[in-house]
Amino acid sequence: MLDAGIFMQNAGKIYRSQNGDKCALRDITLSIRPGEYVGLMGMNGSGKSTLARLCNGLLVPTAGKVYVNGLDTRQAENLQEIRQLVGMVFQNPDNQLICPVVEEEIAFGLENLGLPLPEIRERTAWALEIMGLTALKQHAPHLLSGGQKQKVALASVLAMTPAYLVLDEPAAMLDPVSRRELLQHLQILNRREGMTIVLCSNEAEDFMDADRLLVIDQGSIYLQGTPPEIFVQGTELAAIGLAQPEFYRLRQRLADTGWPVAEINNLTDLVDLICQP
Amino acid sequence: MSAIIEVKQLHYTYLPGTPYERQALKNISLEAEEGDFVGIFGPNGSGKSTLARQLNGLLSPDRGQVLVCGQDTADKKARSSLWKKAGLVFQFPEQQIFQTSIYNEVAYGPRNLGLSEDEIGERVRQALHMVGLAAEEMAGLTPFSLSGGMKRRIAIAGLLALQPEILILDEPMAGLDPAGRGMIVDIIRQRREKKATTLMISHDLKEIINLADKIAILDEGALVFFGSTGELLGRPDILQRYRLQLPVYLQVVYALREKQLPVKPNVGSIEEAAAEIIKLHP
Amino acid sequence: MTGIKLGQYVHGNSLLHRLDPRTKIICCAIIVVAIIINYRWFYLLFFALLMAAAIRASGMDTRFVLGSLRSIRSLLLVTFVFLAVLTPGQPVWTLGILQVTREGLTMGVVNLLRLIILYLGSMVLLMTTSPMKLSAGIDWLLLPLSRLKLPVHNFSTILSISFRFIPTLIDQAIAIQDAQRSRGAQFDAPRLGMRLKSYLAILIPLFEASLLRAEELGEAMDSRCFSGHPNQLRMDRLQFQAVDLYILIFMLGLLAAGILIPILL
Repeated sequence: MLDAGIFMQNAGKIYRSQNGDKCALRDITLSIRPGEYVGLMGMNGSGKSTLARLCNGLLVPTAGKVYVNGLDTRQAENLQEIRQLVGMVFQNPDNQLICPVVEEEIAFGLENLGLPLPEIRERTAWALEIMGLTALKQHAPHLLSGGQKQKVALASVLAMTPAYLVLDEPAAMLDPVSRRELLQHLQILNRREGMTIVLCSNEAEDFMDADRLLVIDQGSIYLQGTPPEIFVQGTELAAIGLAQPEFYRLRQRLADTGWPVAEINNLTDLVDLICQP
Repeated sequence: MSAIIEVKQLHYTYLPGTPYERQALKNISLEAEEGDFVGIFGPNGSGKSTLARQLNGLLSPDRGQVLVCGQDTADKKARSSLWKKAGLVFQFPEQQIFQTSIYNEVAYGPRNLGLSEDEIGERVRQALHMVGLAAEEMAGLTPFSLSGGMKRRIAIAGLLALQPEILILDEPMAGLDPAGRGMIVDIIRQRREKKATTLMISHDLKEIINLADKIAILDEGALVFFGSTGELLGRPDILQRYRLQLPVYLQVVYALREKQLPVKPNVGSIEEAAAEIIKLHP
Repeated sequence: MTGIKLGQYVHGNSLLHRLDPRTKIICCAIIVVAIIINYRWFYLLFFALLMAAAIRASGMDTRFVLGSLRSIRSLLLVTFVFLAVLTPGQPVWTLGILQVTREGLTMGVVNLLRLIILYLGSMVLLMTTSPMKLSAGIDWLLLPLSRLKLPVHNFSTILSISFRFIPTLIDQAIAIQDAQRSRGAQFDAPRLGMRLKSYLAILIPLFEASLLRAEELGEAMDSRCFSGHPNQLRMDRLQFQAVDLYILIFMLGLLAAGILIPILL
């Protein structure tokens, strides 16, 4: 399969341990095409983190296959290339930064690739610029806020110019303002730079910019569709412990009494609708 | 009802006389009545956690006075036993777990109180129940192999087992999923019913807007707002400056009021808001 | 973050701060060799005074650093006593079966001076060189070893990760201590047993957090294709200047003097 994209064919993942086997993912088939913004929503323990790690070969499937631009993740010789194609940002801002200085952190991936120094400088400067971190480039990471640390983590991945960006609950430990900033960066990366984004989260509100949303429960894909299509399914979401976005809960109440809210997906439109005589 | 917490012109500076000196709290004055639920908001670094530490005896004022349960925290002896009355749940409390069984972890606090084993057992059971866990199943398990959300519940249970008159929570919902956040709100609700005082540092106004008796907002060590939720809702400038998001249903109601539509402003839930909206076009 | 600690980098602009870290590391190596080869008390005394002058020149509070020698006073005392008593030679004083010899006294003083020089020298190195520069210097100096297929870059990665996390670990330890205090842990209890138990309540969670951290860092590093490559950006910043050369020549001269003096005298 040589098409561009991340493809999973009946992928499954079982963790074996002395306490017994745990099936984290079962029979996952999905395709993520270049330029898409895909959301993976699920409770903690639903398998979305495992799915995210299948995308860059940190984990390999125990059943089925995962391909990135035609490269099989189970083949060790492909991993270097796969990890250049698929950049990953994790949940804990502190546990991703290993260098004593921001600039070095961003250059870390490039050093690993053995690039010449002038190119390292250029790409580092570019990544700092996109994430608005140029002023902080000589700072030590322990003096940064959580939001800034995540931006550094993201910049250090962007410097490697990946084709796909997978983020495992990147905003879970951030305050709401930093969360929104990070999501805004993701939206800009997707719309302006054409970066493919795969975002994992258990917050429905994080997926407002996504083209497509997959809801994961107990290792399987439970629901699929555009965010509005998913968010109206309040009962289905509640059944697996996820909260329907407030906006859609309100919209549902109005829809129940016959209001024509089927096409309304944001607050402004709703207010306009109510204001109409 | 007397004030269970009184803070009068509190000043506090970190590391005075060193190159790292920083004034963390500037002239803070506030109070909480017994049974109140106070929400504390403000940007990162505004001094919220420092204020929490002033209230449970870890720190004492440089200038001003802090009275907790009638005791002045300037007195070293009072401070050293204040932890029994004012329980402080730190950020990411699961990081403090160190015992090999859940029972012992939750029992750590009560053991330090010097209670009998029977009473400790009862407290552990009650505390685990409050965080939605069954003592019979969980007591013997080891906490280290559990998920982050479960560990958080156990850590909180450890503080609840102290049965403190005042419970201070420092960003308890950070990183929790909706179910976990619901658990925190339940704890606060239960405490309010029992007239137990609770303070919560948070960034999320939405979750507690209907529960809070008072709201305090700190900015760079200074108290920029202290009053009831109603008073805060009347200050859109503050809401905007500190980017405190209102629940969606309130945002809709306020937007409609701005357009001169007759909806009442003090709706407490999605249902009430929907009812008001429906009334507009019967 | 707590205040300035001994052995921790203190920002400054003195000559010593501006020297290339490689120069400083090599000088430390030269000093070690020089004081091992030569045991003349005046030579060692000269070095000890040189170290004290270096501390002064680095803008550090001299009394504070010299006063900190107190922290190794037991080591100094034990060394002196052992050498004074156990070195064979001409006895000057007898106490029962213990004999203090003249050679013993000399060796005692000599080794006292050696320890003091090493202590002060390492203080100067650590307090005037930022962790980043230090690991860049070590990285560069170990570069020839990498030709022998030794994993030197991994070693410098370990070093720089350690430096990066020391402040974080300290902050975490303090936070955990506060949290346990809030549950009644007694860190100033009169009984040693209680104090130790309380410290366990900090060590165990810290250890657990470090294990988790190691796992997550590993994932983050693997995801960015971690391999043992040199840190070019960091090493590129090292600038060897004229003053570095002069200092190296000076130190080598001292070493040469130390070798020649016993021959000439």
